[in-house]
Amino acid sequence: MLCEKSQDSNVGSIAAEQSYLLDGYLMIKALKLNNFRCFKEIELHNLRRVNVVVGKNAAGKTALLEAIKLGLDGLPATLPWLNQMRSILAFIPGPATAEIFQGLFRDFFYEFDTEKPIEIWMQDSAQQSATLRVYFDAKRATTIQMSMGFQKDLPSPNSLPSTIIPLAFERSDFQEQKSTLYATVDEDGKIFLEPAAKSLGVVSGFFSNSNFGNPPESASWLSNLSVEKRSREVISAVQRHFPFIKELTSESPILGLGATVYADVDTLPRKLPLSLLSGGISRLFAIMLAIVTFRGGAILIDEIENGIFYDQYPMVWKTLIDLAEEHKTQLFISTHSNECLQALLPSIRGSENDFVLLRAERENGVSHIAQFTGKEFEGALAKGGEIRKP
Amino acid sequence: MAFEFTKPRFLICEGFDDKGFLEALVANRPALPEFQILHAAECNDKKQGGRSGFRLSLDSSIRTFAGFGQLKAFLIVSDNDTANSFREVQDEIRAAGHIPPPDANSVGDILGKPVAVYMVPNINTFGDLETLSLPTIYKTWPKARICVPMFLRCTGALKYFGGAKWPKPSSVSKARARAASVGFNKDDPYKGIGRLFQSGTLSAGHSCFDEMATFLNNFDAFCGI
Repeated sequence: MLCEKSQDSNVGSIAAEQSYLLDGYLMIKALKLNNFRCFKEIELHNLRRVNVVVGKNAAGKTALLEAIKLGLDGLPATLPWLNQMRSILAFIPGPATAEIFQGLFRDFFYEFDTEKPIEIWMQDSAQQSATLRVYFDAKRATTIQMSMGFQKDLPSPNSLPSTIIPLAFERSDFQEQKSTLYATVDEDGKIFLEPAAKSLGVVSGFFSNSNFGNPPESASWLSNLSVEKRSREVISAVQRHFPFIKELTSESPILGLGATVYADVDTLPRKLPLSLLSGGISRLFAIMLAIVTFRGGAILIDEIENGIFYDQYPMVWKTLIDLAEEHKTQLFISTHSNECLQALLPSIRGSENDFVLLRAERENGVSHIAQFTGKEFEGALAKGGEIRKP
Repeated sequence: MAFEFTKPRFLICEGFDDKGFLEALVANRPALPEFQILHAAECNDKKQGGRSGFRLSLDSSIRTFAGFGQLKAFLIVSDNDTANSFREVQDEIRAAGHIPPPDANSVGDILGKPVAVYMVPNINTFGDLETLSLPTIYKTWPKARICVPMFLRCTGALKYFGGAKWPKPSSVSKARARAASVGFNKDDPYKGIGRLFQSGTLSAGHSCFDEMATFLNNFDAFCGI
């Protein structure tokens, strides 16, 4: 349960809130979540520009970030993509049986109970709300003949019919536009994830704990920013951390392999792919690019400390927070590292109202989120307290 | 190691000597409930000790610390060195954003958990840990009962006739305790009595501490936990 006091103590930032609104910057301010992953029910209020998520293993940190990503996207494709980020089989090439189809999505439902819908409600800083309801829609059930994808007009005598119950994504966006998208199967039994013209909420980027950046995606973002003459600030930010990098460019030296980000390093005669230079730098660069690319959106980062040497933590925090402020991007960042948290202290001090601490807790098999104000967060960091577990 | 609440009862006192004594008191009396004992300077980033360290140590950020959920009650132990001492502790609790106990026989509230205040030697006696400890100090060094008063008169801490010269009884008690134990503190004559309790040189089992031990023994009932 949320502490009323924690909500009240952030009320002092109304002026700051209004300045966000004047700039057209809409943050996610509140979130309600039912029946998603390990969460039966959670409710968060007074989310801020920088939301730091801590917690022990299996407490629900990643699930919280996933829920926000799903809520902002509101797209059928997000669910298999999130599983892929967790190294879980997400896409199957052939036709799906009812069991396979449901199995692809079952893990997203609390206690695997697909009878209860996943519900996500979000409110932005302009008091507008969006909702997403994900459920298996029996009314849209479709029966397919399992013909293994060929000779579909001539099903073999041994093929079995299979009734697929599509997964509905009932959406109401921040402008109260309603729509329903489906994850279902086509006539061949292949999974079909209905696309949408736009996501439910603001654009968002998600960096899982094992995702060290997607080189083609980063190259594309870098190219776009370069065309718009906006790439310099990101490259300069990377150079501040790693002065040995002279330049970062999007290159496609091998025909047909697509572009990737290359680094020009002082000591080397040739440029080399940034991901070869360092997975950590590559991930950090991708995060910075995303903050600038998804201006006005939200960036979700699971285990920020991964791949980054500890003495870089303070500057990494400062750079990400400064970039996010400049580009009006809301951050949701999880970490396991106490060193990393302590390195946040200089950034949080004096800007407490821009921060919230969210701690994923699991007690008697039930996960919930404890929420703390930026002031409490700063005080706890200053005291050197252990804040990662309940 | 980062700070966390490790026991269901959290006791915060003013300084190192108080902590040393309290740890010895609890260790000496196995029947007492478990307390996590820290002094104020250990609990805030300004390293502010004494009574004025309470507000910095007990602000609402403590609810973020590991173990807070399992914590049942707070106990603040402070010197009753002047008539204003209890009120000053109340002010510290209030300044930290909480509800102080209205009197020494009641509990207040820190983030939904009861907080009690124990004044040393007790709520009706002005003094401090050294005041409370003088019986065991003199039992340990019996000759000091004779020479210490003479020494303090000689140095001007006591009047030759008519008792204390200094206004605070606690200051006189400290002078007595330091003077009595100085011969034992060969490394640093300025050292207080906390280490002497920890080393067992002074006994926390002396009957002069029974009243306080009784309070600690009844702490759960006092707090209603």
